[in-house]
Amino acid sequence: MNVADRTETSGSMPHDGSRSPDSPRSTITRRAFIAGSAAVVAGTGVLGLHGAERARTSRLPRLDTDTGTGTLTELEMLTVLALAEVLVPVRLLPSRSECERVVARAAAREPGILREYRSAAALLDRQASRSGSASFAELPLADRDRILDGMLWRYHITDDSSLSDHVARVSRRLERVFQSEEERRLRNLVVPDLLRRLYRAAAPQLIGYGNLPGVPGDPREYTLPPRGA
Amino acid sequence: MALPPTTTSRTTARDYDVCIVGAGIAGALVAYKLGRAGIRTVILEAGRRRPPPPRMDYMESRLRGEDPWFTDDPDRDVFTNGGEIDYRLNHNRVKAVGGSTMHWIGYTPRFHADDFRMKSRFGIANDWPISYDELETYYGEAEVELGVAGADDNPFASPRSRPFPLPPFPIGYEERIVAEAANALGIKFHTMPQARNSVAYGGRPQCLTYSVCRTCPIGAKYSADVHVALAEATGNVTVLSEANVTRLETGAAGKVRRAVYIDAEGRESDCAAGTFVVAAHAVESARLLLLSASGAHPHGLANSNGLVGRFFMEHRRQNRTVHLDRPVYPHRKGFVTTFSEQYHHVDRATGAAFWLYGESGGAWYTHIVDDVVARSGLWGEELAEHLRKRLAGEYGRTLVLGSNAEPLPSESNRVELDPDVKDRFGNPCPKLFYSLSDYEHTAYAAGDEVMHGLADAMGARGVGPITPGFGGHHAGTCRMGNEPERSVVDRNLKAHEVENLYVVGSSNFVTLSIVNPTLTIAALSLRLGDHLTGRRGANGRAG
Repeated sequence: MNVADRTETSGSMPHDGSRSPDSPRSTITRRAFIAGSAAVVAGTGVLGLHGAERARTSRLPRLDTDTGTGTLTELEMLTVLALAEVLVPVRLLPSRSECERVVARAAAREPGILREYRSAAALLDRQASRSGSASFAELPLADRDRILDGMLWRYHITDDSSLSDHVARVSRRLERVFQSEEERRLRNLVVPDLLRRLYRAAAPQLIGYGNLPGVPGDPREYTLPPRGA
Repeated sequence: MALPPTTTSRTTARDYDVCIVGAGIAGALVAYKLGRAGIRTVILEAGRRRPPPPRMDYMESRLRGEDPWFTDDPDRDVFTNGGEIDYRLNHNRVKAVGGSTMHWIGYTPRFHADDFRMKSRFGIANDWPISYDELETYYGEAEVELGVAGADDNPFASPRSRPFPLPPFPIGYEERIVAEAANALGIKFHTMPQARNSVAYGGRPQCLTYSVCRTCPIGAKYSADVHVALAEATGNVTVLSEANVTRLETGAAGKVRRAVYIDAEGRESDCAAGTFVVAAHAVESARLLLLSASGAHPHGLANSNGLVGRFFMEHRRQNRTVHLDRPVYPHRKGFVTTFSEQYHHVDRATGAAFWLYGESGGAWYTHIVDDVVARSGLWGEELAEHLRKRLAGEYGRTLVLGSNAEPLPSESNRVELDPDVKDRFGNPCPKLFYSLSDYEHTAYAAGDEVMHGLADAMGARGVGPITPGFGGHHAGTCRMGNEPERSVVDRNLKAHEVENLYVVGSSNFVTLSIVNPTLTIAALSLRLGDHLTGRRGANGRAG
């Protein structure tokens, strides 16, 4: 949902509390009282969450751009690529070498990325060792997904953006209580960063594009609807 | 903060026959001609030389919505504004070997014959001292040098004597929607000529639609570093990059003796030559002449009539986003293949000229990706499916219609020196005075009416507000002309007042037409090259 959609939703609400002259007179019933009280409690809760959300935003993990750039070790890179395979369906992923290039370039050029990816790789490998595996990369895809499921604290979205937002806020509050700093950095920094980088090329495939920005393509494809559309 | 050179010790580069200031397309093509004729030439370029390897990095940067070609040295490229428009100069030029062609879009239409005779034909602006016919062979030569893809299907174009060297790009799917609507309204769209390889040409590969044309990673789009390299390959041309020319010094005979520049290490050096060619784009060419004031030239070189820096012109464009109910599959290429010059062909005595185009519009999909990734907390197939729904519903149902208006030369639009703001070398920065004329406003209104008609014809469900922009087509400031009192250089681009000084580029333009200026810059530069080598006679005409 975009901002315009939210505005439209707001616009359907009454503009004020006044009744029109011909509306029926009513008395407060017990059911109405309970409903009203519940609404007040819920409203207070929502306002509280809004406040908490504002406070939380300032405490979200941030990329430390004072840390240096550099190169991931071969094992670290394997773990990050194994993470990429869980995050993005393999049919949409760029080639393994392209994924490696994207990750290596980010680590080498963007301050702070190397540290986050390195830390994430260590965390994932530790989690894998608890499952008896030597590394995250050696686990089957389903097992890797299970490990992520335990750490990413999904806040499932729905078609109702306001509900989705509230679920997300609750989830994010809880993560501060139950998750380690390492896990929070994985969830808030590494996973979104990797997803954005990989979907930059992969997203148009979802709507049938064969020609992708930044990737050489068939120079005649733009004259027709995409083959997959 | 303005910093002076780190040392004042002066080193003198060896003498050359010709010294060119600026390694953009004008300087590169002149040097190429001179080098091939065996004339020892040096180019002094303020910007860096950016070799091929970083182009992939630039593309990545472009995909993130940045433009890596904009200035990398804001203290060097400081500027101010004094006019109605707060013009963002550094978003509309590039200082580098290859100049602004390193991030241009590559369109190369020719000016129309009427653009050269606005005064005699319509009674407005001024005539150029040369005609379209005199430049026509050079237009053809420029198309061959740059590798222009096009088709002779423009009924509004002036006559041409040779075919385009490359076949045209076929029309894009989304552009066909616009062209068909226009056709129903009696508006003819035709091929956009462009210096982009529709087939391999000039040792450069065919365009593979990376869709990031301003940072083409494979060199399928022409850029002037091609001719810088060709010039160097003659063995007669030397290019000194990061050489910021701060003034031209004249001798007793009134001729320019040397160009003084500050090199990459901050040392002041100079370069002597027999002939000097200033090819530093419209703003910096004028600024350099003004910075070169001396006892003999108190108002700046070639500026006793006070016209250096005057008649600054630029193309201001206006776009409207059109929302459709059907997908148009945008962003599968980075350039337009078709446009209309129908409104180039109006009587400017009563109307105003503009050109019209329609192309991929709306935001790239990346903001949708960012939003979904940030808010959903999903991954794997669930994320992919949610993203697919968002993209299918929100992305790719918009087009952008645009019109570019013709500006008219106005003496009050100008480049001056700003004594209060200095660049990194301690020199006054350029100060721009730029306002729009009633003529341009008339053209915008007419263009907007046509765009609304097109939107209706396409069955648009909504039209967005006007988004203004600029072409980065700086022109005027050192205009050419036959009368020394009303121009800076003559028909051969030699300064009226200085025997061995030439100025070349869009700064020479008397009018700016409605279309992109680069092919006309190239044609003028090739013509000057022939003039300097003396191969076609002293008057510059083909002999």
